[in-house]
Amino acid sequence: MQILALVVIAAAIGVLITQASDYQSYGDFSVAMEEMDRNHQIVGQLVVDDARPIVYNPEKDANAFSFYMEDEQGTIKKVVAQMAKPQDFERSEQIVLTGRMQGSDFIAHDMQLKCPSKYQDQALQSQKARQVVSK
Amino acid sequence: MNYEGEHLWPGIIGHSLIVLAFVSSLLALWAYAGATNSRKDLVASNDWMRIGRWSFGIHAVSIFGVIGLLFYIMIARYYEYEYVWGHTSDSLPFQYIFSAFWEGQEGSFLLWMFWHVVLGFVVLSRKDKWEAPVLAVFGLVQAFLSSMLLGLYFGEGDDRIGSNPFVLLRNVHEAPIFNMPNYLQSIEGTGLNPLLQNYWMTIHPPTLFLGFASTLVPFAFAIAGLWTKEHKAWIKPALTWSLFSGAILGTGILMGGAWAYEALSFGGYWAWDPVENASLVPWLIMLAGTHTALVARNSPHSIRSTYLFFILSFVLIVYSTFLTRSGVLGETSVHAFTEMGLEWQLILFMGAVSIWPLVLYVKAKKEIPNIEKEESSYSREFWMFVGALVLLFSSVLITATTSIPVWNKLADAFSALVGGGDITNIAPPEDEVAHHNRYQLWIGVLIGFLSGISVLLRYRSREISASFGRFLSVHLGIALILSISITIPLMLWSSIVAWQYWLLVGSGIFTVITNLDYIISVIRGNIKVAGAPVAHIGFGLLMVGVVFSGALKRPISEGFTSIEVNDINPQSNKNVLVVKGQPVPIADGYTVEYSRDWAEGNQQFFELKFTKKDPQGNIIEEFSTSPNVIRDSLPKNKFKFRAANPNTRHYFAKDIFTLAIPHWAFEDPEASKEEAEAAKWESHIIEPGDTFFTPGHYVVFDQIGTELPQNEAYQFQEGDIPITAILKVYELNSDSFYLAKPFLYIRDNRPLNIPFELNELGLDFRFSQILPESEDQMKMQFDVRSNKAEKAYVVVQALVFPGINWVWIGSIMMMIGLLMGMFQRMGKIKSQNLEI
Repeated sequence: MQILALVVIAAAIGVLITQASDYQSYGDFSVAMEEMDRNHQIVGQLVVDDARPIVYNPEKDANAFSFYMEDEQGTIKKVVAQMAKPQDFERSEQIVLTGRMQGSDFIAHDMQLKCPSKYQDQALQSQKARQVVSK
Repeated sequence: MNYEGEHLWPGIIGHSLIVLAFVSSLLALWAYAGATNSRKDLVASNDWMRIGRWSFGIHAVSIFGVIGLLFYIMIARYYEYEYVWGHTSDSLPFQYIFSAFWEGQEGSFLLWMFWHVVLGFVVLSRKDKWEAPVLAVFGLVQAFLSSMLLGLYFGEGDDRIGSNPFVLLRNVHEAPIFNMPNYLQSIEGTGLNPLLQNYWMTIHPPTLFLGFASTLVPFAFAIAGLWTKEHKAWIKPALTWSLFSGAILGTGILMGGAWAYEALSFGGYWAWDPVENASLVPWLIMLAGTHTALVARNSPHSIRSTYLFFILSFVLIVYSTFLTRSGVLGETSVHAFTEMGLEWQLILFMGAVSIWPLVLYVKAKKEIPNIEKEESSYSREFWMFVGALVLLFSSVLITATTSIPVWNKLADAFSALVGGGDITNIAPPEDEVAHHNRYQLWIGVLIGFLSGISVLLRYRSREISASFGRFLSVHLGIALILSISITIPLMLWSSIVAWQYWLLVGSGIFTVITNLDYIISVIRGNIKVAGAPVAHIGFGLLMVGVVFSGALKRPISEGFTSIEVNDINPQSNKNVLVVKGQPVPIADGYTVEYSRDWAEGNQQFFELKFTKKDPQGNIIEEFSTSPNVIRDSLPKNKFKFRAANPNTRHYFAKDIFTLAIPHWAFEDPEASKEEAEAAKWESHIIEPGDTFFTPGHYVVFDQIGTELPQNEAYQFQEGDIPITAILKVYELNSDSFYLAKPFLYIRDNRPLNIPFELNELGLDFRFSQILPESEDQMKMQFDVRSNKAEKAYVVVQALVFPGINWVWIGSIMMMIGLLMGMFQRMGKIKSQNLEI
C-alpha cells in the first residue's frame, strides 16, 4: 500500500509539472517583439484619439477590429483583434490580450476586458435637481 | 440635515437583526459545543441543548427578518438604501426582484445563510445524538457568514468588518445632490444588469447556493465523528447527505452551464473559467467522499479518506467563495464580481474551517480504526478507492491552474516579507479550454473504465472463485466487445480523428454497457437499488456528448476568411455580415437572410432565415431563429447596446446556435449624433497623383478617364463631355484599396456630376468642378462625405453543436442516479415519482 501511495504521489507531481509547462507569463510589447514566433499575454489599456481610432468595419471584415493599446511599460501599439468588437469596448479599464506580433501590429486571437463598475458613481455625480415625472 | 422622504426604520431594524443573527449563532455554537462535550451527562447536556435550540431559533428568525426587510425595501424601491439603488430600478419587472436580491454580494450571502438555516432545522428535527455537534459546526459557520454583513466600522477610514446591506446611499457615495434635503425625488435606481434579466438568474443562484450549503452537512458530520470519537457511526447519515449534496450542487452547476449555453453569447456550456472550476472541484471531492464512505460502511478501510474528502469538500467551497468574492481573479475570469473588501475575513473563515478539523484529527488519529491487511485488488472496495483517488487527482490538477492568481499573490507576499519585490507573474495557459481538456480527458477515460469494471466486482472478495471468474470474464468480455463494435463505427461516422477522443467515447460506452448489464443481470431490474448504475450510465453518456459537441462544434456562418490575418486562429472566422433582405451564402450549403426585426420592450429581435438548397434549387431544409439584443433607449431614437442573447434551434442530433448583433451596436451613440450633423461634404482640391486624407482613410487620385458611369441617373446625350476620376481609397495603414469613380460631365456648358457611393467603406465621392489655373495645371475639386445612413445589417454567428443533447441527458441522469441513491439510503422509495 505504501508503494502504491508513493507511486501515485510521484505520478501526481509529474503530471502537475507537465501541466504547469502550459503556464505563461504576462509580458509586454517589447517581449512580444523579441519573440515573434510564439504567443504572449499582454495587459494594457485602450488608447483612443484621432490618430488612433477604433476601427470596426463589419462590411469589410466582420471578424476583426483594430485599436491601439498601451502596455504597462508605456509602449503603444496597434492591435488587430480577431473577433467582432465587444460591447462597451470603449469603456474598458483594462485589456488582456493573447496573441503575437505580426510586423508592427499585435494580432490578438483572444481578449479579456475589465469594465468599470463605477458607472453608478458617475450617474450619481451628474444627477441634477430636477422634477421627476410622477410614476 | 433633515432629509425628506427617507424610511430609516427598516435599515435600523435590519442592521440590528444582523447583529442579533451574529450573536445568536455564536451562542448556538457555544451551547451546542457544551452539549457535545457534556453528552455523557444527560441533565447538563439537556440544558445546553435547550439553550442551543433557542439560540438557533433566534438566529433563524433574525435571518428571515433580515431577508424579509431587504425584500421589502427593494420592492418598495427605497433608493435611500445603497443596495436598493444599486440593484433595482423603477422599471424592473417584479419577477426580477428575486434576481436583484442576490445580484449583490450581501444578498447572496443571505441566500446562503438561509439555506444553512433550513438544512440545520432538518438535522435538528431528527433530535438524535448528532444534533449537538453538527449544529455547533453550523453555529460557527453562520457566525462567520453573518460577520460578512455586520458593517461595523472602526478607525478613521473605511476599515470595517463586513458590509451592511442596509447602508444608506448618502453615507457611501459623496455627491453634490446630497446637499439637498429632497434628493430622493431626483434619484432612480441603476437597475439590474440586463445580462441577469432572465429566468436563469431566478433559479440558478438558489439551487447553486443550496448546493454550497449542503456541503456543510457532511463536513459537520465529519467534525462530529472526530469530536465524539464515533468514527464509524457518523458515516451512515453523512453518506445520505453527501448524495443529496452531490445531486443538488451538481444540478446547480449544470444550470450554470445551461444558462451560459442558452443565453450568453460565448457559444458553449463550459469554459473552464476559474469560477466554474471552483464549484466543480468541491463536487468532485464530495463524490470521492461518497465512494469512500460506501467502502467504509463495510470495512474500516477508507474511514480516514472519508473524513478527508467530506472535510475538504466544504473547505473548497469556502475557498471558491474566496476566489469569487475577493477580486483576486480579476484578470483571469470573466465572472468579474465587484469586490467587497472582505479578503481578510474570507481568509480567516478558510483558516477556521481548515484548522478546527485538523486539530481534531490530530488528536483522534490513533483511535481511528484501520486495518493492517491490505485491501485485495480483487475487491470492489479497492477499485472504488482508486476511483476516489482519480477524482482527487482531477481536482488537484484543476485547482492548480485555477489558483494561478493566488500563487502569484502568495509569492509576492512571501517576497515582500523578505524585502523583495513582485517575483512571479504567471499567466494562465493561452488556451485554457484545451489545457484542461488535455488532462481531464484521461480522468474521464479512467472513470469510465473504473465505474464499469468495479460495478461488476463484489464487496469484500479476497479472491475470485472459479464461477465468479467465469461470470466476470463473460460479462466484461462481452461489454468490451460491444463497446468496441459500437465505438468504432460511431467514431468513423463522426470523422473525429484524434485517438484520445475515440478512447474517451469508448470508455463512456463501456460504462454504459456494463452498468446496464449490472441492472439487468445482477440486480435484476430492481430500481430501488439502481442509483449507482444509473448515475454511471449518465456519466458515460455525458462523455459521449462532451466529445461530440466539443470536437465537432463548428461555425456554419463562415462566409469568408478574415482578410486581416488568416492563419493564427481558424475558429475566429465565425462572423458574417448580413444586410437586411439580402441572403448571404454561408457554410454547409446554407444561405442566411435577415428578413425582419421587431421590438418587445427593451429587446430587439431579428429573424434569421436559414435555407439549404440542393443543386437543382429545391429546398432541402429551412428553419428560422430569432436571436435578440437588449438595449437601452436613448433620446432621438438612438439605442445603447447592452447584451446579445442567442437563439438556438434544437434538433435531436444537434443544436444550431445563432447570435445577431445589429449595426448600431458598433457605433458609439454619442458619436453618431455629431457625425450625423457633420455629414456634409468635405472638399479637397487636388490634381492627378495627389493624396488627401479623410477620417480613417487616405485617397490617391490616380487618373482621369472617359468611361461612363453605370448609374441609372445618367443618360448620355449628344454633346456631353464626360470625365471620370479614378480614386484609390485606402484605409489607414493598409495596402489594399477600393476604387471610387466620381463622374463629372459638361452639358450645355454647365458642369454636372454623378456622385459615387463607395458602400464598402460608407463614403460618397463627388467630382464637383475643374479649376483651370494655368495651362499645365489642372486642379479639380472633390467632395467626400460619410454615407453610413440607414443601412440595416446584422453580424451573425451560427454554430453547430452535434450531439449536445447527450450532454444534458447524461448529466441529468447522473443527478437522478444520485437522488435515487439518496432515497435508497433513506429507506423510502418514491419510485412512482421517478418515471424510470
